Amino acid sequence: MSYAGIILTWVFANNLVLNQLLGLCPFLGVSRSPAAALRFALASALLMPPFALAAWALERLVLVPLGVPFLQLLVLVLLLVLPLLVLRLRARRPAPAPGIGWYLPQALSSCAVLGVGLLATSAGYGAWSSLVAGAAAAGGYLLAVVVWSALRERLDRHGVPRPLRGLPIALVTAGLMAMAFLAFDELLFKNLLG
Amino acid sequence: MLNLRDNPLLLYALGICPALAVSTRVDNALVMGLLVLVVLMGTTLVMAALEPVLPEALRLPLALVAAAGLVTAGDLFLRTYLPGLREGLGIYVQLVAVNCLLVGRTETGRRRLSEAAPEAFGQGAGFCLGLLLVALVREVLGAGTISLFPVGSFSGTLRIGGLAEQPVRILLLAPGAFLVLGYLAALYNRSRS
Repeated sequence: MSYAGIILTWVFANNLVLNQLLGLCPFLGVSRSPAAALRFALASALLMPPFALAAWALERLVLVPLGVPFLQLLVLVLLLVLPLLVLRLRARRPAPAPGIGWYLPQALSSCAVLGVGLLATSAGYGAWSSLVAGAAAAGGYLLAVVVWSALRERLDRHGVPRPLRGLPIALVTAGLMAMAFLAFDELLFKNLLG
Repeated sequence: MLNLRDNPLLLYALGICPALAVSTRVDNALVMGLLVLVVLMGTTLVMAALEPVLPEALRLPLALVAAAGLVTAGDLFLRTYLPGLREGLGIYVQLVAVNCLLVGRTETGRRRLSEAAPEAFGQGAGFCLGLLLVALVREVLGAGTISLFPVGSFSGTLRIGGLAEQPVRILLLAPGAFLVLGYLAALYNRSRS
């Protein structure tokens, strides 16, 4: 598949949030502000391209040659846990003001980042395609999050029936967005762009 | 132990990421829910055993590695005994290792074994029930069937006349997952208050 095809597929057709249903927890957490959700998404998005490339390298250069592909999950989790450990051990107290770096530990243990690594390796891409796919997944993630938090901000100003307030209306909003994204089709992009 | 008033899935959407995607069939949801329960319990037991000697900074990293080990074992078990079903679950089996439910438990849950084990069981079982409910609604309305496991002369799939011919197909796609969970959560909120 061409790079343009990979980008369009990962941003729109296989959108991480709206099609693969990954990386949802931070946005559904009712107490979080849109700004916090955006910072978290940015921290996750920054991790995705290098992690997709690293997942490819581990799969092709280490696990498959050694004949232990079933250890993939353990190795990928170790890869995420090592920087998490360093961040934890070096954590200053009192904690610094919440910037993007403050969300890195949470991003490292989120399903979106691990999901990108697993999806990119199972797609059978080469090194460059994995990197591009990781970056496109990150772009699609940010796109969905920005649109979603804008919608939620508007919803807060309107009268939402009491049982639907908070989590339920967030889910229904995501459902309607996902319905709009059904218009993008992987096969269509494949046929158009090769 | 099983606390029906504070369902982790319906109330806080915890553990939603790996779970929602596989809730298109009842059998998938059952296997996934049990896997989450086993991994949650196993990790809690490991963490409770190590609690006295473990520095605070090592807790979450170690819990994630322990969970990854348990998920790998569960994955190999499924590949051996239920290969067809494992195929349908895709990458979501592996994603159980970084489940928000598990991360949240490690960070804020109780730590002493006598308190942590029942709490983890309650959360895991509640999650499993919530996931089964979502899957039941999605499969019945979206496909008009209920997929269970074949036993004896029973083929494993129940067909629901009327719905099976004209199902609401969108409920099996990604938007259906959000919509069904959203409305179920609203009903749950309403029944709680």
